Amino acid sequence: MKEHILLEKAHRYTVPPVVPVPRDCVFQEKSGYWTKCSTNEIMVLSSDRPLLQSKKCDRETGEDQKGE
Amino acid sequence: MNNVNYLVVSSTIDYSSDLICYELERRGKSYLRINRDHFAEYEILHSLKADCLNIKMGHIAYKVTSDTLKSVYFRAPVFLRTGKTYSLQEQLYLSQWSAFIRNLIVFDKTKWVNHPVATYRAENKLYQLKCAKSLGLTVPTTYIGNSLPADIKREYTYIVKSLDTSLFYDNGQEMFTYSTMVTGEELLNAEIKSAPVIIQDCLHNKTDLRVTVIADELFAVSITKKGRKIEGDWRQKAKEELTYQRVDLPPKIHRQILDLMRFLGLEFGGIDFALVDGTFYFIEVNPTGEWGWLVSVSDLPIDKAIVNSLVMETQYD
Repeated sequence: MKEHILLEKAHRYTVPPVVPVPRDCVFQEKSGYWTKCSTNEIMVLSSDRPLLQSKKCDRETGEDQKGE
Repeated sequence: MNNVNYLVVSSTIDYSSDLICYELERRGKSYLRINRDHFAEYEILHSLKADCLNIKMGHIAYKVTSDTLKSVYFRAPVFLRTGKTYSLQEQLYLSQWSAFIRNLIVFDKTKWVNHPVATYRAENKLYQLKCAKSLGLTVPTTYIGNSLPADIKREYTYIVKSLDTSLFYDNGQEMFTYSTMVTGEELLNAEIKSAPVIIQDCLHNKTDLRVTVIADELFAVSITKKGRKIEGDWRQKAKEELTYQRVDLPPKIHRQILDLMRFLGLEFGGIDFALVDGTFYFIEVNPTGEWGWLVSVSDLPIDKAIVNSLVMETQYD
């Protein structure tokens, strides 16, 4: 049976079984943001922050993880 | 007991919410971020009689009431989709906490960015296209269904896309379908009977625009590949090759966008346009659109604009 066009054209990729936690970072529940363990910097304001990139294949955003 | 004035509903790996919390903290606001992946670590209890939600995180207790809660940043909407295999425990967690999040609409006196009901309604692509068209925006010729229009031309190029985010799981792999350029020939030979698709005329020689709207503020950028227009879906291009440049929109388009947002009841939206020969084609509005990347790459103060909306005051320094 022929595959549906949305499946035929789909981009396939392997995802890690567990969503990785940013390296050297801890989530501060009280503040509501991640900080770096080594420097205490706020992760999203640090120079080596992870890219807050769109889109689809990036696991960090909410835009396309609505079903999770 | 800490009274919560601003509630952020998110997940821990949503780094854009970090920017919102940092800005709320910087402004000295009383806020709380709850993360759907940490719910089991909190002690949560809502009393209907008191109309009060108590949340304990470690040793810190928070109180959310209709009287004290001023706004909610609803960052983590939940739709149940199937596909991935979950354990019983995971199914229980996801279904029941999803319902819990939806039930936060009990806080019906507060401002929501965005309200879940508005988000769910606006997520429907056919509906949003119809609304945009009725408000005067130009939309591509669009068909939705599991059969083809009679006038498909073999030699033409069309866009095929999914009616809802097409995220699938198969044999340990994740699958995602972008907006895809196909020939009429391909379409005529394609299998679409088993599930509906969106078919649109392909807009050639387009410039992609992303317009992020918060209340009455618009932040518009063009998206090009090293300054050149992109054929097809820009999201498939290497991130480092993409260039984002702030652009001004014509007043008429600006007004129509705000009309659409009001009509859909959205405070926030990420709207995609394609600009072709001076015509702005409305592609879609994403009520839960990502924006953190634009703060990073274009220095747009979207985080501050969202917080301005949440706290109902204007501050950009």
